[in-house]
Amino acid sequence: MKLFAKLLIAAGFIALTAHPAFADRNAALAYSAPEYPAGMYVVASSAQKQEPVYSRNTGLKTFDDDAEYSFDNNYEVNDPFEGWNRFWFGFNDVLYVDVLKPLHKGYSAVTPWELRAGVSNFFHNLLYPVRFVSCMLQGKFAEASVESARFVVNTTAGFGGLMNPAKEKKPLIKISDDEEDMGQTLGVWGFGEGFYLVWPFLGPSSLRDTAGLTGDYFLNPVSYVTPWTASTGLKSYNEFNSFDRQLADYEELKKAAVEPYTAIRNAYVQSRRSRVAR
Amino acid sequence: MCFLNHPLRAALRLLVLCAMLFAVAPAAHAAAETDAQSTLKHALDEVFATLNDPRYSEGANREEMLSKIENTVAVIFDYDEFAARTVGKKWRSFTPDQQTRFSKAFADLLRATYLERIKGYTGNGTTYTGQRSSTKGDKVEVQTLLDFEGKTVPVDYRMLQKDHWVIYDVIIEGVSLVKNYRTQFQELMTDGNKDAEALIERVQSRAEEVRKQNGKTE
Repeated sequence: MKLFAKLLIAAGFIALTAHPAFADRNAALAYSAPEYPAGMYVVASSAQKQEPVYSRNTGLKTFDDDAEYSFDNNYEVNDPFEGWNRFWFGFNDVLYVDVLKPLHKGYSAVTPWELRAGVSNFFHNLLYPVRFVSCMLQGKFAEASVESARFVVNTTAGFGGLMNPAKEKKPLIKISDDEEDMGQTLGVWGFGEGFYLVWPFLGPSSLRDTAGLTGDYFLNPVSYVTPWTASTGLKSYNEFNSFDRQLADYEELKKAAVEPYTAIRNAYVQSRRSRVAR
Repeated sequence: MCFLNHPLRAALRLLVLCAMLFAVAPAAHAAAETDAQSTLKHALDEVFATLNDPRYSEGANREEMLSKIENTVAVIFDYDEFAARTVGKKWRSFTPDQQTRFSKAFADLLRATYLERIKGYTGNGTTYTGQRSSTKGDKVEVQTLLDFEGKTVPVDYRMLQKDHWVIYDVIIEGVSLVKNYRTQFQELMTDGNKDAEALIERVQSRAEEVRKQNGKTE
């Protein structure tokens, strides 16, 4: 019986020391907090609520909150051409809200939504080379293969891309949910934004993303339609066709803003940075 | 008394201790992690339940519905923390009175814009995709996907623990609201050295404008 007790003590001791490892499958990440002895939970059970959520204990990934919200953190972008940008921002605002919005309302009234959805799907499917090449260049091979699979399904079962049956199918491989383009590719390669730029019609961009747009242009099959007027017409029609979605986002952002120009510039930069990071 | 010192008895005590340890310890690990998420989940479920309540369908009892949602949101959303973080460095130079008025005006603006947006919500709600903890371990990010107007929008909630878990930032499609407002307020305060009063006034008048705009579209 004495042996039994000793064995139990030994087992208990081993379990006690090994216990943190069970919860710590992920590699320990850098953190500066004191480590708790494994048994402390029993002792400190009444104070559990105040216990911090250490990644080491929970296996969670981390974010550095202090650094992120620090005032030295630069989540703004250079804007040397602010005057120029503000001018086109104002121009676009009038264009979107006072010209294109009523035009699109009329367009929506005379076209069935099936047609609008079909057009949007068709062009989206056609832009597959942009997404595929960008994925490959960023080393996202799994995502590239998913893009290919979607293209195959939508081009065949989706009647040349008019329908989007692949949308219902969730990929088995875990991929990021944003769509890649050449601007993001340049970002992944380490290029910074350079500076902020607002283009007439196109809206917010940056030096890097403008370069990316050039890459996208050559990867877009519609660019090779001749004459160039037809190609531009097709692209413009596609943009106009799905204009309502972008307008809704734009209007909501503007509505929530106290300083619309700064708000949209910052939203653009934050969103692009997060897409590059994903 | 020799009964108490019996080795079997000692072993049994150890066994009980071990059992307790294993019962408590994993729970402690999971507790902090799920606390933030379950608090959030509870609040969001309540909001969606209110939105889907047949009593409020087709715009009936709208005021009641909105105030019910507002109450739920006010519990989980820390407007003061949010306001302090958006103003940033200059927050400490605000008088307590200015701080209260600013955070009230700001809360007003947020309510006017975001409550309006979810008013007619018909979607599948939120799915929870993951969590992160801050390096210091005092904050949690709950990552979700919101089904919104036919799109799946990634929404991350940054939470910290006061007397319960509260939200101090919302990150929609990679855009942090705190950071977004912070750049705006910075711009406003550096422009012509506007002080706290001017900022409060600006936010108040903006909330008023949005309210008017909302009234017009109805």
